[in-house]
Amino acid sequence: MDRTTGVDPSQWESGIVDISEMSLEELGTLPAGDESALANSLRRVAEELIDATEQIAGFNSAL
Amino acid sequence: MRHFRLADRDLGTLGAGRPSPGTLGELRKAQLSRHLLLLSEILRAETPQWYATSPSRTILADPATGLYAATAIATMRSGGRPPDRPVLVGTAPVVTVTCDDLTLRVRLEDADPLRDRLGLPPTGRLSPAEVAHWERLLSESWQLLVRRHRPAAEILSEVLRVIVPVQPDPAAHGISATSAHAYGAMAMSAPTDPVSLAVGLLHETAHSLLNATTLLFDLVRPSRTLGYSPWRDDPRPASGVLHGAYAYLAVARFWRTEAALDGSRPAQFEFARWRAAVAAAADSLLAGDGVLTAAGRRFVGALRDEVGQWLEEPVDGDVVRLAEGANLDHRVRWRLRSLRVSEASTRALVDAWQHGRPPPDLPEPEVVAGVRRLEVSGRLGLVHEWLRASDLGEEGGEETGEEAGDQAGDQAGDQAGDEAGEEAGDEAGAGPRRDGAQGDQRLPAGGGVRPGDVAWLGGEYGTGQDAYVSALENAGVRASPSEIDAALAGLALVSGRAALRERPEVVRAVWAALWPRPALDALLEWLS
Repeated sequence: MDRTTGVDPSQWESGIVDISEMSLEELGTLPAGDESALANSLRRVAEELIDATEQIAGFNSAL
Repeated sequence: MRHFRLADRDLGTLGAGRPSPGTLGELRKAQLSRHLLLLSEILRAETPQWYATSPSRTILADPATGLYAATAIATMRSGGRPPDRPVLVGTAPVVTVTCDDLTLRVRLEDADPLRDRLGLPPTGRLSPAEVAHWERLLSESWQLLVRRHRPAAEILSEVLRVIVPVQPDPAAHGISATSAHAYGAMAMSAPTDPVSLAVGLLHETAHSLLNATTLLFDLVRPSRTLGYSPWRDDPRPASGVLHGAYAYLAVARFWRTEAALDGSRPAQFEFARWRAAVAAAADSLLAGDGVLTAAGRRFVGALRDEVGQWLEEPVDGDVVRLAEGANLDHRVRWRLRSLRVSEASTRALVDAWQHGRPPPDLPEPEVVAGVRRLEVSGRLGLVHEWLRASDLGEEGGEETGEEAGDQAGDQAGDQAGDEAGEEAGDEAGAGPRRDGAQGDQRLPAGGGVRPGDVAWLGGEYGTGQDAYVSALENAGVRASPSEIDAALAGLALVSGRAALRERPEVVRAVWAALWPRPALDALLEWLS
């Protein structure tokens, strides 16, 4: 989730992978090599769910 | 498999509230990826009925799908089965408005059973008349945005997809909310005028943008520390302060343009007030030790640079004075409500006062977590009334009061109920009444306004100080804490004593503990 320290320091790289072009069927049949990137992405999305749920519990919260 | 990336420049323009079309495209792809990740996780557990319908890409990307997926995952985590949805997107009315070739297409989601997950109680199905009301206000708002705020309108047309109509709050003219689960959706009560709707749309869209950004990058480090937020009456975490700053950057930008176009005092006031509040909030985030990640520093730094350019832009001097006063008033009242001076600190102060010693150094007061509520500030309502009436006076009374109110859009209160509920409360209250206004025709008729408030409004600080001190020194035992706090905050506006502006909670603690009460100004001088 931080600035990339490798090839291109002018880029900020996210822990989330772009699967926007994939179908749900494809996601279910991914080879093992991709699973760690997917698993990391899912973990981050899941963490965000917990945080957001706590924050929205308040009155009229935007968070 | 590609990780999402943003060029440094793009993260900067996003932080400045001016994301490029390319950045908006990345945020949308990231949200679709999020939906797919969550849905695939649901499918690993079982195959809900909706899956057999082969939902389209458009449906998978819809904000309602994000809401559904989040709800389903939460249900599964608690041991339940994911809810099924025969149709992921229902049959709610869709409003399409176009101005100068720019289109906004919004679904008024009044049917989805999960729509209450946006955080506010939704209305039932809209009647044809209610849909027509939304359509008319959205059309008028869209014209305003496209013709006067084109860059913001272009962002809005890319982001906003769904409005969930919600029940109005009797304490506010308008309320709205956004959820991190549903990028491009917002909950909103029926709008009352196009200006407040426009600002509300911009405000909530900014929350959506920030939620989408924080999906990709951690900006704020996790912390339980709570502090001051210029838009809320309760103590907030750093993430909440950032949300407010980002949303009010959009609000300040709107009023900056409005003020430049027509020069009205209400617009100048909103601009002057929110530019200062956004800058102060950004400064507090940047100054915090370890509050922000590296990406967060880049993002907030860009936000601060953006608003920093506006700080020196000319605004009517009297309006700036009132805007600074409104921000100070809010901060002082927040400190009085949220900070608790310990008994040990109070005893040490009282002892020093009684023995003629200088005040001792004190530990930071405890922050008391508050409950979200709408607070009524008659003083701010009075400012709004005065500003509107000032403009009317200059225009020779050509407008009716009702028209002036419409154009002012009830200012901050209606725009953004989630972060500015206190302003909404101001406007929704019984309203300021003239008592001691002594013939100032810019003030509303009636009784009930504190004389100190009237003096502050008119720039008569000495008179104001006398009035507030008199009110405090003559306050009987039956005076309510809120009355005392309002008078102390008022005194902070007109007093030169730093203690009242910087540590009003200490002033109140010592003042309450001493009996007989000392002369207030002597105590303030000692504490300052």
